[in-house]
Amino acid sequence: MRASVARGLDLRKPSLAMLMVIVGVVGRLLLLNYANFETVLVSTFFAGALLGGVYTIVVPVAIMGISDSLIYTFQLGNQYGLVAIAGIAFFTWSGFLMIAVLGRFSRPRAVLATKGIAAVTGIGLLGTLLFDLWTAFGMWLFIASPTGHGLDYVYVRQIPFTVYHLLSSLIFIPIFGTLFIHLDKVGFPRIVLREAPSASPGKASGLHFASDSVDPASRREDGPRSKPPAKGSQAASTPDVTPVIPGPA
Amino acid sequence: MKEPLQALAFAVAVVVSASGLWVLGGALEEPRVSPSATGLNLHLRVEALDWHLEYDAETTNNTAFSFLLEASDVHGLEVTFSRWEVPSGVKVDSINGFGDGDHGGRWWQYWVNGEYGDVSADKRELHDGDVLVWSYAAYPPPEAGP
Repeated sequence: MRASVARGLDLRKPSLAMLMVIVGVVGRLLLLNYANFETVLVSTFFAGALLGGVYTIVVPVAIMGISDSLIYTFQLGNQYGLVAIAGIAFFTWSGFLMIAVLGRFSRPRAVLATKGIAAVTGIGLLGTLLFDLWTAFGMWLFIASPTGHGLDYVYVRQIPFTVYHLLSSLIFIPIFGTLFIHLDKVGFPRIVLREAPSASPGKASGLHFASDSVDPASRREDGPRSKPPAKGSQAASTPDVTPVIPGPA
Repeated sequence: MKEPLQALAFAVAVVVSASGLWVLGGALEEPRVSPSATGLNLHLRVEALDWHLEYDAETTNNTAFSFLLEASDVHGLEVTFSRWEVPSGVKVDSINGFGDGDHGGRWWQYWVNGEYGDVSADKRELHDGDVLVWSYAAYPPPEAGP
């Protein structure tokens, strides 16, 4: 894959991680009134599947940290006591970390094809079920158990919420999963700043958008055609074509 | 199967599955309560740590939530609540400044004729002669039951 910037600094992973955090936080805040409809799960799952490494932890922690801070600071959600927050938060946060690890093991299936999207959707639905089982256990441990209520008390009441959580995953995993996989494989659109006046009459200098997926030869200005550059070499047949530094495939 | 056909099949499967989950979720929800056509004689008691309120009325507000709101309008109680869209429901967050989770982990809960209310307050229907109690108590109370 071509590097997105000069000097060998590859910002692909940090950029994708940042997008995942934005999707997770914004989606969670916008869907607060829709119990268990959220975009945190899809972001953490694909952080594990596509980015791996430190991002497996950083992305879910960032999403939950930022969104929880906003929710409790601005009282956007239900108001709970501090003990309940701490106890339930442990299970929620660790649940999303578990999803990220599940995503990591799903990495080979995260490909930009229908079979790949279908596979990760299925795995994501399984992860949703496991997440709900885990967090419901936390609810039982911190809220229901102290007064002698059994685990079945909590799990039976969890069923309607799990149904909607599965629906949320069924919608968001294919949509955002396709987007994340596409950006991971193809790259973000780049802004190419033209530095020199155009040699062709009628063409003004300015900002141009290019995609890493576009062959640099196709970005040439109108003018004498030249042979496309060999793979791995720089393309600079005319003064005003921005040199493209190819990166790893 | 070619990729476009696979994509179409997957999209159809997602739509069908999502529709099924949506219908199932709706079926599992408590049904909405229609407003009463005739007036009901109801009694309400709201009790917290060091205060309580008694309210009697003949009313068509026939849910544990709507009757509480009626009493709050009459007596100037400040009631804050959160409303859920999916699944639909309400949760009373505070009454007269006493909020959920404060004062040693007390939460607002309701009982109807001594029976603990374990459904959303706007889904619990009241009938003529019912006694509704909103109490600021530890959660969940022992009488909640499985």
